[in-house]
Amino acid sequence: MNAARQQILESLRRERPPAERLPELRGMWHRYADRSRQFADAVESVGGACRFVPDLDAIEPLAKEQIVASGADIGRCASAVPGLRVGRAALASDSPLADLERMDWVFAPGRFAVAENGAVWIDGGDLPCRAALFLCRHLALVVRADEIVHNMHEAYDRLTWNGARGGSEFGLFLSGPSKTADIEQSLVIGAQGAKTLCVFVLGRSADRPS
Amino acid sequence: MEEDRAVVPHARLAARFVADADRTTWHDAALWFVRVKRDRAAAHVPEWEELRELASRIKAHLMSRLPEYLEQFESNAARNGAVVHWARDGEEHNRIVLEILNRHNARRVVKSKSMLTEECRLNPYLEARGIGVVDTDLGERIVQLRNEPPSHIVLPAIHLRKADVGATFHEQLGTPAGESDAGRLTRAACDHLRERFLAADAAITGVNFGIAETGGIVVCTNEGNADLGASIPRLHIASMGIEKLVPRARDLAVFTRLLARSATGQPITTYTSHFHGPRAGAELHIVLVDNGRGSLLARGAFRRALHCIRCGACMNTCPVYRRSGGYSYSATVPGPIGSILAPQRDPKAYHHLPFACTLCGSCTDVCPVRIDLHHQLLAMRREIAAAGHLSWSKRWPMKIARWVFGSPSRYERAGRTARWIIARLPRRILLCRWNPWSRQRELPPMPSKSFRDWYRESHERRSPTDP
Repeated sequence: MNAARQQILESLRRERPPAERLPELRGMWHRYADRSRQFADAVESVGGACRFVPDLDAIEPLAKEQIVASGADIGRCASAVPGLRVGRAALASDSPLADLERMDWVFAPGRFAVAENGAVWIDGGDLPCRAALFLCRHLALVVRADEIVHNMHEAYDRLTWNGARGGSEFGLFLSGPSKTADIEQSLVIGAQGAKTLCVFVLGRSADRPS
Repeated sequence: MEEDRAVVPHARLAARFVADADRTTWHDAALWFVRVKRDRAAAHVPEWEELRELASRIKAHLMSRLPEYLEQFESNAARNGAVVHWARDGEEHNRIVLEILNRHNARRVVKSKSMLTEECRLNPYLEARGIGVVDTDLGERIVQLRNEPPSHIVLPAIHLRKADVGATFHEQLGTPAGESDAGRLTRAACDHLRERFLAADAAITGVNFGIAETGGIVVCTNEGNADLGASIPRLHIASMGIEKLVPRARDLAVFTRLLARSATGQPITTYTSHFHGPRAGAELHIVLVDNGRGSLLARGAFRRALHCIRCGACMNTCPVYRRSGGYSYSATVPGPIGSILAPQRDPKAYHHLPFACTLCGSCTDVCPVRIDLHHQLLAMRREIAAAGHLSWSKRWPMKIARWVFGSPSRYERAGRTARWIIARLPRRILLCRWNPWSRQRELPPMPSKSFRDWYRESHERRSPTDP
């Protein structure tokens, strides 16, 4: 293995292309007049739903309504959002796979969201077990309106990476429910991950006059 | 490896594909539809061209310092708790993966889409050694159940119709006979795959991007299968080509904005997952694979082919790919980019691929990292001709053409002779099977005189004082 490493690196050093400077990333990136509106449009365009609520308390009745409407069992719904009590199931780092697999609804916190593409950044450290995000049937995310950034450049500027140094080893941008068009290019919303996605946006964004 | 297979020329395989005119027409339209979606998505981003330029420059910089970035990636990945392995070729990659699986006594493997493991022929290697591999991307699962390779790098089953998938699922998954509803077929496949995930001992994924600065890897998918794999079993092996690095995490903003828009017209993939080390109680292994990439870097004219982020846009737009299908290329990566990568590795076997191209340049126009694809295809033709890999049917006509076009008088005489003979020969002989031009075309009527004759006459009639 060390021989392979050495051989690969040596041959790359021998055949080095001419030096090129690493470009600065200081573009005039597109910004939106109303980030919340743009975000909601983007979420809907990728097959998800977006609901604006004033605060966490306002989510509970809406969530219960959605759970009932989806025919789900309240005993198979869980929340990992601090302060949001929905469902009777609990998520734990040692939750048995069989329980996670039966999960109807999971409510998870999003750190921030991206107006450009409807993505929400989920930090693995905010969840007791990340498999729940992908095994549940319906996923609901909660993100604050003043945490919506314009584009991916602003998004990556917000992220810090310290896997081994106490930070979480996993994080993802999630945009819409799982989907596929692998059978004759027919779009099917709801593939192997969550079949539906609802994003609750809390409060008002800076772009909106109150 | 790829080189061991006898390669049937593109034109012969394409002829087989186009024999079914309805299917060809559908295939053409389906891919063009993806191209249109790409155009729409790109038009939504005012700085699109700037992003392409930045992506190209970031990759060019990366390649000029690749060994340093690889070392940086390795030490950061190790600090995150991942184990990094190095493989010179596909065989070595497969051996490393097998060894890791054996150490964990893993017998049931779920794999998400990875063109690199296709390139290395990992599945047959593991299966011959008693390890079951389930491809979990829906399109890849469909072709795996049919014992076929993918025909497109992003849309692996694009050559199949709903009825074909229905028949395969009826046979293998027990769906009702004649089922052809995409939604119901997808659900059946997802239920079947869910069982495989829950029972898996290990997951193998590809890597879209590796981050030198942080040692993290990024996997972009839509179905959620890569994340299920990387979150359920306690072993995750990620196979990664050495060209997949970006220097900084912030560079990913450029690439994630380009990738899905170019591939399927989505603003971003559903899941863009960042792994910085294994989760608690699990292991993450990253296998860095060269397999000819380093030698491509050494070839100036084709170096930029290494910038490829495997979005498939060049295939979706290619007038030849759309009408000849992925299998006509006999290579893991088909289409314009494949027609550079395959002959670069094995010019003798794949000498016909750069000629399966009209040099229209559409691939170059859509490439998100601005690879000069059609220029490279032309350069590759020259290399193949210089190396003597062309068939006599391409070599001799070119030699004769050079001799004829090399002298104005020879050219004039040849034209006069052709106009005289073609006008007199019977159609039976002119349009015979030895004349490939006439297979789908009529010959044009022969003019009575050449352009030169006409020009000479019309100028001699004019007086010198005319304007």
